[in-house]
Amino acid sequence: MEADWSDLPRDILLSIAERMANLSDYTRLGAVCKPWRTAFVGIPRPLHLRFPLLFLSSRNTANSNNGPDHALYSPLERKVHPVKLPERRRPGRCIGSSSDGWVCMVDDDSLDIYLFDPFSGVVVHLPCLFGDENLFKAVWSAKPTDPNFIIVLFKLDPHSMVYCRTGDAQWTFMHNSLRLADLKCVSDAIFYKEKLYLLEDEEGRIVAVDLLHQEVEEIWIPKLVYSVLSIGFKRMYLAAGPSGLLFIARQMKVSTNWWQERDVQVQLETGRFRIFEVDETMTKWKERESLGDGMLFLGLNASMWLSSSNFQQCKRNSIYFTDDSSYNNTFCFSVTENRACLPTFGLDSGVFHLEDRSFDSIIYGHDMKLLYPNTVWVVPNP
Amino acid sequence: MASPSHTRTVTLKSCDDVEFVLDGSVATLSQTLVSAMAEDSSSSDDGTFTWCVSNITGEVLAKVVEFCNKHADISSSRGEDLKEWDKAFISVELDLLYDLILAADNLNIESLLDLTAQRVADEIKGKMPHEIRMLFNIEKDFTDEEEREIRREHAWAYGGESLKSFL
Repeated sequence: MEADWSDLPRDILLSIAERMANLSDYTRLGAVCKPWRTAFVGIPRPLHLRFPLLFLSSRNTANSNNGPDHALYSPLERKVHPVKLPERRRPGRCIGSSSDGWVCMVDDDSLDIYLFDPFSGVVVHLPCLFGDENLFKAVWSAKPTDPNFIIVLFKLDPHSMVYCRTGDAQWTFMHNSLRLADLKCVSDAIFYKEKLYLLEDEEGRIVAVDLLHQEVEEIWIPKLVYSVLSIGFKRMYLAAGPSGLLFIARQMKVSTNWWQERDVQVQLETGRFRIFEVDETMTKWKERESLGDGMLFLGLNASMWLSSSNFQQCKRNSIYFTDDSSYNNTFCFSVTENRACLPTFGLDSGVFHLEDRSFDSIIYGHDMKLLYPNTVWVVPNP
Repeated sequence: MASPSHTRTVTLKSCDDVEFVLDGSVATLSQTLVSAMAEDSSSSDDGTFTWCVSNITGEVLAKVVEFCNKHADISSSRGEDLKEWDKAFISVELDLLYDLILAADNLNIESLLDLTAQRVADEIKGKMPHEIRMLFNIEKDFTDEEEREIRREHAWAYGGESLKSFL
């Protein structure tokens, strides 16, 4: 009798699928035949295949390399997967992503804002936001299908925040409704235990906002902690750790690179990270020298903590970071032409190992970084 | 009553009436045989147990028995040697591989299920759906329209390129 592979018992097919080394191989199995497709219905993607990928956006200028405008880069697979935007959408800018697979896209010309799942192509429309092109970050509380979904957008210059919930037809200015007028410059924000935590690093203050009950609470970072966190040039992040909120300072150093032996490039690049953890009462602070089995993913995305034990090919106790310095921290001077050239951004990404404070690249070359300066970590949803 | 601990030999009978005699300890690799022996109260008191596998041919059963004998032999079941042996053992035609999978499933032999599933996974890795169909002689039962829809849904999974092709 001839073997009928389409008729493999379901549990065996799933066991074979789980042995795939990456999510794209796994995903394609469902496209072989109808019985195989049916076998995967209702089966969540295996955890070990859900290592974060980088969602890449090319420069807004014409893409000269004929490559895709948007793509997913898999660091473990070392492959670029072109991503098609939903129909009638132009290439845009990604201003945020969450640990459940969604990215937030902005088209700066039309100010069209939407959430997009690059793994399934599904789109969730958001209300239009007129009159401001300075959106730089988005965070949201839950899956867009969740009734408690709230998304918050951050605008630069003048600094403000707007939010909308499931079913809202327009955005609400947060300053008006919550008397946050004295809030100056929010450097990072995260939803944690149903509250929105805003980090105002110039002031050393955290503002916890309960949008449901419209309550605001202030938390001051202890002076001793703040003095360590705020050394030199830095960017600061909030992340939900396994046992409390994490504060991460990404301390920058100045580096000089010669480019083709004639242009000098002076840039800020990541020098090291320092991490503090605060307990649930928001009173006990301690510095963490190690993340243990954990890994942090930082950048424009809502910062994510993941356990390395689910993944074979990655390093524990490490911080995976991308360049989120859209306001240029790189300056380039051409010696031959004796003038400043256009600054570049997108170069400062990599992996920081806490154990020996060493760096690795994300196997993501210099040219690639120039082509796709806007990169955001995104975790495939289950 | 025959229990796995004091059954000395197990006779396996294939669907085409080929018989294999296994040592009782070898048979314990199969969870199906372990349960059957534990439940069986009618077998002879002389420590023998007979089990008919209705849908496995003698040719396939011979391979299964070969696998079990090797894996139950503790003195040889260590480290790299066994890995090499497994690798040679599983280098079979795909038709036989398929029968081995069903036999491993039927007799519930975990280590053989692992080995066969891994072999299939290694065959599939990096292939596109049409290549997988060709490899396993699976008929495309989607209409062109359905196939386009599936590809659109997971468009990202079809265009994997190495970094070099963009630079």
